Amino acid sequence: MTREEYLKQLRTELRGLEERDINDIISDQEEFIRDAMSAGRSEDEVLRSLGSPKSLADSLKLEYKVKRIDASESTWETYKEILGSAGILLALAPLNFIILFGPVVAILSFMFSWIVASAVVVFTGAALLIAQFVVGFFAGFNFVQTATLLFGSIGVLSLGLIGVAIFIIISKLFIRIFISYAQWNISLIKKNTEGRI
Amino acid sequence: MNSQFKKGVVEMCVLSLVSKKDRYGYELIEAISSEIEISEGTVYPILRRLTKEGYFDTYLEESKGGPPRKYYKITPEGKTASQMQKKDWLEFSSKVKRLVDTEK
Repeated sequence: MTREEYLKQLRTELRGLEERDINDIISDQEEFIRDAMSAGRSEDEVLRSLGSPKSLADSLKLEYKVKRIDASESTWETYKEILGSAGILLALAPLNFIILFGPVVAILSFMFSWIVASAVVVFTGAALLIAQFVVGFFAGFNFVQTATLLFGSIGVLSLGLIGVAIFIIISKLFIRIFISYAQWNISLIKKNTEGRI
Repeated sequence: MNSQFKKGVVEMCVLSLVSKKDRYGYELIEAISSEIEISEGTVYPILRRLTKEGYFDTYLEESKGGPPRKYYKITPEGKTASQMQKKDWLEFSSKVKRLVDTEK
């Protein structure tokens, strides 16, 4: 195939990345191919050393999405990027799918139930705290009863908040693990498809 | 070799090499990989970013028996940036040297 055909296929395979990134990548690859040819290499050989448009696009997409996860501040953006990267990783190899699908589903379910449970505990604690001020206001404050309920509900509230904090810590840990796994994938793919000069 | 070292340094090497002589992308890949192992893909994004920041100008030149090459040429701002980065790097690496050399 000619380099025009190669680059056209590459552009198609890169769909999903931002337009700006795609244009940058195509322009870089075009310049690289032209430079390599001007140094005496044949168009065929250069295109072969890049690998197929699809495999080059897959590893570039992963690289760009992982870059965005590292850079992004907001947690919601991070989760969206992770879903996107999970999709690409799944496309990369059937093996990845087998490895990832079960654990990812399990992890997401676990995290979801954890945060729901923590939220429930927080609300219970808060509700208890408020309730007994209301009761005390109307029915009078009995010291022992009030003190017990007060400390009890603060305890419940704190437990819930600890649950939320643990959730945040564990989320960040899983994100780190996912990024390392994705970067390991990239390095494997690079070793397979990139030629040495 | 620790790949974390490479990341910051490749940009400085590109700046320095272009400030001494006009270069095209492929030439830079070869010059740098003669000393440090880098992947082909890292150089072109760096060239694009430094050009956008105003450190490089570009021009096309016909090559014998091949497509035209895009050459990168240093601007005055680029020269200043290159000198500053080189100075920072030399200071930084001498501090690191002091830390790792002192065995006790």
